[in-house]
Amino acid sequence: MKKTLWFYVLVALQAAFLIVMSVGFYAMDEWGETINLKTEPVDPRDPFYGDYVVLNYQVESFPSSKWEGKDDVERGDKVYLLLENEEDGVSSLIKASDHPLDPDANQIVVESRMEWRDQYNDNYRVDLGLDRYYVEENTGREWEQAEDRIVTIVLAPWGQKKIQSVR
Amino acid sequence: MNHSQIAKESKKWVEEEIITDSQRHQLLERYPKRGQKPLLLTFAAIFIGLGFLTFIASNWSRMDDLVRMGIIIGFLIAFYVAGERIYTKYSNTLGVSFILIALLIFGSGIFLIGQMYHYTSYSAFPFFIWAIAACGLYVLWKEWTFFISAIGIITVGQIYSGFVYQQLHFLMALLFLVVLGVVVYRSKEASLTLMFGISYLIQSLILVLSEDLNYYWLMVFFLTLYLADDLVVKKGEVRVFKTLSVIAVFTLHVFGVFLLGQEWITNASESSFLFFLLWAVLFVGAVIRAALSSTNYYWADLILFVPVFKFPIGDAISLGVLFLYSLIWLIFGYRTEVSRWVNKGTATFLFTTFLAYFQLAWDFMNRSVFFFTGGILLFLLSFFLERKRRQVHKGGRAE
Repeated sequence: MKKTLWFYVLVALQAAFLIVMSVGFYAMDEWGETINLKTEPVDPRDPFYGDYVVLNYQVESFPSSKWEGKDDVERGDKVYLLLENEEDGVSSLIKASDHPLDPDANQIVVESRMEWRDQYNDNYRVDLGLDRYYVEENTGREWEQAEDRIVTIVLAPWGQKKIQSVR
Repeated sequence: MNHSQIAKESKKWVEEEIITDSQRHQLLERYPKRGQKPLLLTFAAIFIGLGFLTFIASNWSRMDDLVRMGIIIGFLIAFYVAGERIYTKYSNTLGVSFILIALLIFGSGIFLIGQMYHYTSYSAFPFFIWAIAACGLYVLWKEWTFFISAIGIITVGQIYSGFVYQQLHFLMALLFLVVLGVVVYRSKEASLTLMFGISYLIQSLILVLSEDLNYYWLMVFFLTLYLADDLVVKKGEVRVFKTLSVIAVFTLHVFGVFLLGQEWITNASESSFLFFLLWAVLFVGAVIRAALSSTNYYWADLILFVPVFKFPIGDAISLGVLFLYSLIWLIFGYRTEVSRWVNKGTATFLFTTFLAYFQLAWDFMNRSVFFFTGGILLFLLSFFLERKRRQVHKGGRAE
């Protein structure tokens, strides 16, 4: 009897885990903070791969002057980006580091992962993990026209983030 | 009593003229065949399940996210509940397979929902959660199926983690060592120990490769497995961990023969203090273990666990280690007339000879001459070794 009880506890936990994964997505709209980020023109050779747009955020690459972390940062390491909201409503990068940064008012910290350090051009590239935006099928043409866009991103207090809209 | 039992017994009764043949049939009709029902039911369930699956698969992209969620959760719970009911009431195997399907739904559900909601994961965390569920099922039901599932999920998850994220998932490794390790320690079941050992070796390889550790760290992991053997061995059974670790370390030396002489392996020469410390502690442990052993030859394996670094003659030293190892087993085998040891010594000696020959002669010998000479060399060697071995098998003295 006790075993059956524990079994159903285990089953409930599994269902709950899946549900929480889903609820987090909807709850972000309620408790998350939104920021706007500019994307660079997408790679013209292959802007579409399947039915999603590839997004290159401007804040994802920056010169080494904005880097405040250790030199031997490795691919996949956590990188904190300090963003500031500018007058046109778009956020831009103030500095980046591999240790946590303190935001002032009007500033926000976003987590990303180190991609690579380009020593030749002296800049860094990180990955926000939001490089794909799924669009409805057969709407590719419309998306191809626009060159750079403003993407609205929601950041949840628990570290989750998602794309809200692409303009 | 069931149908088949009655059928078997009543045949004898007819032969002994206790009942007539028609009475036998009457009796048999009173006990309908029970076995067929679950079988038919199983097929029915599989067909309905397949119908649902194909329907869902073809309409998946058109469904709303919440509908998809409902389907995943619904199937998950339905299969778990059905599995539990069937297990306790009808058949253990069928129940286990239902619960196994539910476990698979849970795993694929994590990935499907992750995809639906654009989750980006930076580690093998989904596999970790999935493995916890599998371990939990094993702890509750004590069915080997779930243990094997847990090992499978963890191993695949670690390989995935190594390839995609260039790291070993440490929490998953901890889960593996603590939960599954305790199971292996308690059960002392050779086949489970074997699976655990192989997964351990794969994970240590991933750790060394992904963390850019020097290759000789493998020696520490292999030696740990070697020493852990005493914990999981059942009296009179095969020493699984010991055999696995010896095979692994032997293979490592074989790679050493080929690679340690190469110029491009540069970072392998730097040595670390921590490695020496750990290795020394384990090695001393192994020596003490060998001294306590009832058979005096236990320490022969230890030769293989001497690490070889990248010296100018590192490859030759690796080769020397392999030769020494096989010769010791050969000599021990002949002296004690234990044919198992003679076989082990013969096989490794032949292999090492071939390796040495390949390493030394490949570069400057004509290819056909290389193979001819090698073949003749191996033939002669195996002839003498085989003759010796037979003497041992016959129980004659090998002088």
